[in-house]
Amino acid sequence: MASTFFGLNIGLTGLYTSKMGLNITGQNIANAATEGYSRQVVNQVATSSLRAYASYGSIGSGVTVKSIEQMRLEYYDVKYRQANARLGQYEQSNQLMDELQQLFNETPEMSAGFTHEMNQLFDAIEGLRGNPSSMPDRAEVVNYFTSLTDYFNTTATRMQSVQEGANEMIKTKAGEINNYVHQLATLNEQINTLEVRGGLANDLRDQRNLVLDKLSAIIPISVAEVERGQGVTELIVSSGGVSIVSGEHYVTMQCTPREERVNQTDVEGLYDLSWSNGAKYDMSVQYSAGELKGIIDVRDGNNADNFQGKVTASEGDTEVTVTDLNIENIHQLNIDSDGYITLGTAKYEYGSYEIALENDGSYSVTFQLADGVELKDDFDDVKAEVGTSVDFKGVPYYMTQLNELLRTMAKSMNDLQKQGVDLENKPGQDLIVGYDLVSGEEYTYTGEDLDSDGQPDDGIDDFARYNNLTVLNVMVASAVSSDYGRLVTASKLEDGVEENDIISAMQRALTDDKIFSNGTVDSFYQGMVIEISVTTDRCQKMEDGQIAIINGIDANRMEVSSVDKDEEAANMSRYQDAFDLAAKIISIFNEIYDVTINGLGV
Amino acid sequence: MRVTSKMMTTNALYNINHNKRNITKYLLQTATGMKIQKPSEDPIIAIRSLKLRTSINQIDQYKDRNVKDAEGWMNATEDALSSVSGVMEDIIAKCTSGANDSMSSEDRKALSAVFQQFKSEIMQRGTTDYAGRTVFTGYKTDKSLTFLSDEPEKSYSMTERFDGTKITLRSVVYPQVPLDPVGTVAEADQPNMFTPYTIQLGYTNLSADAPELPDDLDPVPDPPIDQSIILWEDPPYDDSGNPMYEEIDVTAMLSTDANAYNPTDDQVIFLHDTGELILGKEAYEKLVNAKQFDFSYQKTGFKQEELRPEHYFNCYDMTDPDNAIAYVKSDQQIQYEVSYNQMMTVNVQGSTVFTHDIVKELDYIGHQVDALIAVEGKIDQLKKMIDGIDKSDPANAGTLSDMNSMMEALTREKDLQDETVQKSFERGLTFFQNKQDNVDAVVADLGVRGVRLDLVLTRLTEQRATYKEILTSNEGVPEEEAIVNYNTAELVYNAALQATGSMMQNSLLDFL
Repeated sequence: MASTFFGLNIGLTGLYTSKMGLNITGQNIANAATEGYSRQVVNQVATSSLRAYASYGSIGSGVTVKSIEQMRLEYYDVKYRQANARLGQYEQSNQLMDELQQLFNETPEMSAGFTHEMNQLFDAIEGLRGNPSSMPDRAEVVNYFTSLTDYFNTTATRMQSVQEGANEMIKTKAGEINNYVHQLATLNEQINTLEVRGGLANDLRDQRNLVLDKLSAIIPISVAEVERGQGVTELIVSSGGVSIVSGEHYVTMQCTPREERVNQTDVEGLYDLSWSNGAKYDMSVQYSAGELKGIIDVRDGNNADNFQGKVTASEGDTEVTVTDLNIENIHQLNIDSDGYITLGTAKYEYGSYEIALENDGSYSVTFQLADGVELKDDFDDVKAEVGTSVDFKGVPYYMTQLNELLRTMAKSMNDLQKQGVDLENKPGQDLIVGYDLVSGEEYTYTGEDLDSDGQPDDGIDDFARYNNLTVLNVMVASAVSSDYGRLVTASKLEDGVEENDIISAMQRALTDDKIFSNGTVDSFYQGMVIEISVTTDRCQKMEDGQIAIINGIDANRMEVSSVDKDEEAANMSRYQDAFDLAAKIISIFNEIYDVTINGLGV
Repeated sequence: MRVTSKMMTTNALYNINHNKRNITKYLLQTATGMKIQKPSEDPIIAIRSLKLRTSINQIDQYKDRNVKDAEGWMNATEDALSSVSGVMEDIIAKCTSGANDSMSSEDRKALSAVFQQFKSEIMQRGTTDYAGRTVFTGYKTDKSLTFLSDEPEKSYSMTERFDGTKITLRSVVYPQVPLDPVGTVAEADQPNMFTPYTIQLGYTNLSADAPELPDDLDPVPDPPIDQSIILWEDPPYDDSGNPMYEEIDVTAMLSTDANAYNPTDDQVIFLHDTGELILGKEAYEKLVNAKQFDFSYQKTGFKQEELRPEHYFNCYDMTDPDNAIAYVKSDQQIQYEVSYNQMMTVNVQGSTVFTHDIVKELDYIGHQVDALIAVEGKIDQLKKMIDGIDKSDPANAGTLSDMNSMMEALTREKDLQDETVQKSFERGLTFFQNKQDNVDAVVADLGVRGVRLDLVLTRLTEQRATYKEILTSNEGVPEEEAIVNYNTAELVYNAALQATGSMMQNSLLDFL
C-alpha cells in the first residue's frame, strides 16, 4: 500500500510538469520571431511506478520532464548552408554586374554611350569626306575622336570604381568572416561550459547555428561536431580544406594590398586574401561559392584568360621567355609593365617585358626579372602565368575587350593617317595615342620598321607597339587636337583639297566587317554589351533560382523548427487543462485528508 | 506536413515581393514606353535597338546632310551652266546676224566689245562656288578655275594633248598694208588670204623657247618635254610598257613674220605670240588621223580670267623653279554617298565645259572684226590724204599714183578681211552651236541626276519610317498592353496583400 500522501505527490508532479510545459510554450511564443530560434518541445514521461505487491500490479507515481528538446534537423542545415553560399555568390555578382552593365546601358533613347559616340563620329567623318579642307568639319571630326577617347577614359574610370568598390567589399566581408569565427569560438566555449554538466545548451546552439548560416553566405563551409566525452564536443568549421574554427580556436582572414598590378588596367592596391595560419585563400578550386567568390569574380574575372604560357629556363637566369601563349591576338595582352610571374609554383618579380614574333608566326614574351632577382631552379617546359585564372567575365575581362577594341581602332586609324599628308603637305602622324599616366608623355606608334610586305622586320609586331595603349590613357594626339590642319584626309594634295581617299578609307575602316574576327567596330562593341547583359542576366536568374531553392530548404527547416502560434495556443490550453486538473487532484486529496484527519476525529 | 505560421508569412512575403517587382516593371514600362530598362532584361532587344538606331542615324546623315549637300552642289552647277548656255545663245544670235547682215563700222566696233563681254561672262560662271568651294575645279575646290587677277610672275610649263579632230582651217589676211611709208605696194607685199591647217593651243603669248622643267626629274620624262610634237603610236605603249612615239620638229615664229601662215610642205610653225601651230602638208597628213599627240610649251604671266592650266593639263608650276609643283591631269569626280553604297558624282569638271577653244574662238572673231575695223580706218585715212592733195599739181602725180596703188591694196585687204570676218562668224555659229549642245547635254545630265536624287530621298524617307517602326515594335511597349499588365499586377498584388493580412490576423487564440 502506498503512502497516504502518494496521490498528493502525483498531483504535484502533474503541476510541475504542466507548468514546465507552459513555460516552454511561453518561451516558444516569446521567440516566435527570433532569428535562428528552433522551437523547443517538452519531452515528458510517466515516472517509474511503485510496485504494490498486489494483484492489480504497480501504481503510477506521476509525471516528469525528461528533456527539453530542440526541434532541428542537421540535414537541412547542411543543405541550407550549401545553397546559401551559392546565393551569396550570385547576390554579390549580380549586384556588381548590374552596376557594371549600367555603364554600357544604351537602352534609354540616345544616351551618350559608345554607339552614340560612334554615330556622331561617323557623321562627322561623312561630313568631312564631302568637304575635306573645311576647318569646321575637321574640328568636328577631331572633337568627336576626342569625345570618343574621353568616353573610353570615363568608362574605364567608372569600371575601375566598380573594381575598387568590389575591393572594399572584400575587405568588409573579410571583417565579417573574422567577426563570425570569433563568435563561433566564443559560443563553442560557452556551450561546452554548459553542456559538461549534462543537458543541451539549446539557445546557444541556436545562436551558433545562426552564425554558421551567416558565415555560409560569405564562404562555403563544412561543419562537423566531434564528441570529446563527458558531454564535451568540439565544433570544427572548415572552408576549402582549411580548418578555420576548431573548438575555441580560430584563424582570421587577412587582406594584403598587392604591390604590383596583375592586369594593366587594375586599380592599385587590390587585396590578396590569406588565412592567419598561413594557408592561402585560393580562388581557383575549393572556393566554388560564397559572397567572396561573387565579389572576386567581378573584381578579377578574366574569363580564365590570364596570361599563360610555357617556360624553359635554367637556374640563375635573369630573364625568361614565355612561349605557347594562350592569347591569339596580341591586342588582348593585358599584363602590367612590372609585376609577378608564376613559374610552376614559384613566384618571381619582373621589371619589364618585350613581345617578339617567332618564326612560326606565334608570339613570345620575354620577361626581364626585377633587379637582383634570378631563377632559383631549372624549369623545363613549366607552366608560366601572370595573375590567376578566374573563370568569370568581370571587370578585367571587359577592360581587355575595350583595350582590344581601342588598339585595333587606333592602329587602323594611325596606319591610314601615316599614308597621307596633312593640309600643309607634311606627312601624317598618329591620331590616337596613349600617354604615360605619370609623366603625361605621349607614345608614338611608328610603323617604319615594317618591311615592304607590311611584316615586321625587327621581330616586333606592329600590333605589339600598341600594348601601352589602354582605355585609361587613350587620347587624341595633342598635335592634331591643337591644330586640326594636321588631320590627314588625303594621300596627296596636288590633285586638290577635295581628294578624300584617306578619310574615305578611315570611314570604311570604321565600318569594315573584317577589322575584328566578329565583324565591325560596332558589332565588336555590341558583342561585348551582349556578353555583359547575358552575364548579368545569368547572375540575376541564378540569384532568383537560388532564392527559390533556399526558400524551399528553409521551408523544410521551418517545417521542423519554426514556432506555430496555433500549435502553441493549443499546447497552452492543453497544459493549462493539465495544470487545472492536477490542481484539482491536489484539492481532492486535500479534502480526503480533511475527512480522514479531521472528520474521523482520531 | 507541418505548416507553421512563419512558413505561411515567409511564403506570402516572398510572393508579395514578386508581385511588387512585377508592378515596378510594368509601371516603368508605362512611364517610359519601353519594354526594357536595362540590357540584361533582354539583351537581344537591347542590341537590336542599338543596331536600328545606328541605321536610322545613318539614314538621317544621308537624308539630311549628304543628299541636301549634293542637291545644293548640283543646283549651283546647274544654275551656272544654264546661264553659260544663255550666253552661248546670245553669241549664236550675234554670229547669225554678223554672218548675214552687212554692218556699219560703228556696229562692228560695238560687236567687238560685246564678244569680250561674252568671254568674261562665261569665265565668271566658271568661278561659281557652293558654300565657298568652287564647283568646276574637281578636287581643287580651293582654287578658282581662272586667275582672279593679273599674275605677271606666274609661269607654267604645260603639255597639251590633242587628237586629229582639233586641226582646223583658219583664214587670216596677211600681210597688212602699212600706211606709212606711202608708196607703191609691191606684188610680194600685197595682202593675201591664207587658210592653213592650224592647231589652236590653249594660251597666247607663250615663250618662244622650249619649256623649262624642274631639275633632276626622276624618272627623266620619256618622251622628252621639249619643243616638238610628240605623235603617239596606237597603242602608245609596247608590251613591256615602253612609250612608242615620233617626234615632229617645229619652228618658232611670230605671227607677224613673213610666211608665218604659209608653211612649206615639210614645216610646222609654232606661232608663240598667238599660240598656234601651223601645219605644213606632211605634218597635216600625219596628224589628221592621229589618236593623240602632245605639244609642250611654257607661258609666263597670266591675265585675269585666263584659265588656270592645272585644271586642264599635265603641267609644272615653274614660278619658283626651286619649288616646282607638278600637276597631273586626272579625272576628279567628287562623289557623295547618298545612300547605302550608292555614290553619286555631284560635280561637273570645268575642263568639259569651260574650254580654251571657246576663248580662242571668241578672240579670233574679235581679232578679225578688229582687223576689219583697222583696215577701214586706214582706208578712211588714206581717202582724207588723197582728198588733201592738190590733184592739179603735177608734182603730186607720183604721190597720187602711189596712194591709188595703196588704196587698191587696202581695198583688196578690206575685201579679204570682210570675207574672213564673214567666214569667222559662220565658223563661230557652228562652233558655238556645238558648244551649246554640249552644255545643254551636261545640264540635262545634271537634271537626270537630280531626279535620281529625289528618288533616293524618297527611298530613304520610306526606309527611315520602316526602321522607326521596327524600332518601336522592338523596344516600345504598346500603352494599352503596359496599362493592362500594370492593372493585372496591381490586382494580384492587392489580392495577395488582403489574403496575407487576414491570414496573419487570425490565430487559434481568437477562438479559445
